[in-house]
Amino acid sequence: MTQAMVRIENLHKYFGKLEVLRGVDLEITKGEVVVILGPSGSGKSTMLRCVNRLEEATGGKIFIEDDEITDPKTDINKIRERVGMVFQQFNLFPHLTAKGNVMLAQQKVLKRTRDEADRIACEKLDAVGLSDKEDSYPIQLSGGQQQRVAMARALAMDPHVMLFDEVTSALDPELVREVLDVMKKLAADGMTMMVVTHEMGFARDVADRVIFMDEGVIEEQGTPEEVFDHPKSDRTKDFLGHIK
Amino acid sequence: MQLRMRRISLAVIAMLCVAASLPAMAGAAGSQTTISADLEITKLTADVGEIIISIDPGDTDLTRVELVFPDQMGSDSIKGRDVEVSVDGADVTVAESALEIDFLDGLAGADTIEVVVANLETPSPGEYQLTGSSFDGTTSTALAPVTLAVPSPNFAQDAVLWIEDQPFLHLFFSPVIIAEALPVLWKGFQVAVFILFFGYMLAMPGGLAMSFMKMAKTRLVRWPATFYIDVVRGTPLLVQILLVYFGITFLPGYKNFIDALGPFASWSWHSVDATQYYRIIIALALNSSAYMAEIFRAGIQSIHKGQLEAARSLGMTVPQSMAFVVIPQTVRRILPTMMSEFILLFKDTSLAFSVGVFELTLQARTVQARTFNMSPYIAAAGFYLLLTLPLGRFVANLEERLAVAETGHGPQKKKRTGNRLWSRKPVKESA
Repeated sequence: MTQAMVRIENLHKYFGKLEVLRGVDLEITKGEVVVILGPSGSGKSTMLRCVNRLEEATGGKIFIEDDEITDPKTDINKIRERVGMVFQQFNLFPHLTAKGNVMLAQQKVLKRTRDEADRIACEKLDAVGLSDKEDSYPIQLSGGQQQRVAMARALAMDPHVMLFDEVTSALDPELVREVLDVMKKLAADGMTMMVVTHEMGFARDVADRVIFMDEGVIEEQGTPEEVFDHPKSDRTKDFLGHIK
Repeated sequence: MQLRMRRISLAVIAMLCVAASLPAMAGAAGSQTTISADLEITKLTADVGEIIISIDPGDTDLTRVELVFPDQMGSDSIKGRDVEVSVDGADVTVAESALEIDFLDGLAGADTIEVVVANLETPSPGEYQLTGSSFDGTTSTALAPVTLAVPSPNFAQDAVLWIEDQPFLHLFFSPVIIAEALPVLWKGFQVAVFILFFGYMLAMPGGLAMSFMKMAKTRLVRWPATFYIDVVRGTPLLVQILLVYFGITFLPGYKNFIDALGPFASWSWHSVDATQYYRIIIALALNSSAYMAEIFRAGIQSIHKGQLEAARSLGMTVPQSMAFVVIPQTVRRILPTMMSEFILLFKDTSLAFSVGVFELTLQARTVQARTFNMSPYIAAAGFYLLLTLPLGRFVANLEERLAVAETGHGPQKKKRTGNRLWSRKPVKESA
């Protein structure tokens, strides 16, 4: 039996009276790449944010490698070390250089020495193709470069699972490619990934499983071929029809 | 021939006489008392001076010197208290325009004796003779006269005299009164800066604590901070100063506390006591901390929520995220505002005059009250500008540079539109 990296059980989330997630069950195995599709407001980003508790789940349970993160007694900072997240708005620290961004949490959270953090930062920046930009400040980088620094920053923490929240949505079309290429390489290296995106081409090429969410529930899931070519649900057909 | 001989002999006798007198004169130069004198103008208006006279007793056993000042130097103005003699035990008598100095205890082996006569009215420009005589116990010898030159007023002195003559201008820009006020104003300036510095330092941690309180989720924590900030920002600083400065002394245990402080409460500097400093600094810090709390809060909240989320998603704790991600960005963002608060607080120190703390404004007021002249206030304003003008320029520069650092370009230069009051062009309304 393959080990479950992330297990979501009957996840509910309310924002005030609005029920955004209405009972989501999902299990992601180690090394699996799951792409989550769905219209705006379907709860896909909220679900992702619940997985590293940037949002508190209202009901249900979430496990990361057998640790229940929804349990208030869990040290969430320890769990977050295992979960990397990349945001739509990059959220790089503007007062630090690219390398500084990648080094900070390594030193403060993993207590790596300065030299070690420096070495790993260079390694990770090289992996995302930015070894020549390590001393640049975020303001001096393009959106695509900033997003790749953000990925290097998350990867430097040696996460067991990576969450991608619409990471290409804020980018100019010509910059999307470079970011997706890094993600493809990451997937090929066996990283467990949860990807919320609107890039259908990426989903088709890279995803092991595609999940279609609508109105707070998982409407349909399966391999890319099953979901894209033979959708069963009418909502899925409707959504895919709109974006094709 | 005989006639010629007599002429020659007369010439020889004359020559002999001259030759004979030469060694005598040379001896006199070494032994007689000589004086030299120097006149110095001591007032901006050039009407008061000081004469410094050096007396070289030579070989004589000098017991008494009499100095006669020129009539034009206003004999009335020479007062005994204005005369200083460098030898101990000298007795000074002022008679008419003459000065008699008796060396009762001898000269104590002094090579030269210096006599300074201050606050002397200077006559109109020109040259005057200072005469006198020396007395060695048996004989009185006339001193070789010394010339005192009173210079014509220079341009600056003329300008000063001109301003002092103006009926209106001298009430605000009197150089004489400003010059007189400068030393006390400088003291007051130092006191103001001292109060400013410590008030500001004290207000910062208080403001930071209150800003976090105001951002707290719990009402019990948030409300006291909100209440305090609203009250302090909504009432005049003058009322707060009166209330706190005097109110502190009514606190139970105040006396005991001050006693316990011992030497820390008993020092004083520039005519302000330690407890005065403490009380006014606390009053200003209490006020400033409320304004700072709002500056800090606005600064922290202006940092995008995503920054905290990114830091948290990397496993950093809330204090870590604050310390290494949010606060460093906040500091850069609020630096100009914090410096403006520094300038504001400096100007606010002037209100300490109302409770009798001798800072810049009260010092100026004291001179003003004595002279019935506004000039000390003008000078005090100059002292305030000494700090506020360069700092203000610096803040403006800093704002621009930080804007460049944050956005990659500076703030949009405001286009000058023709709506200035003195513009001759018709006012154009921009769409």
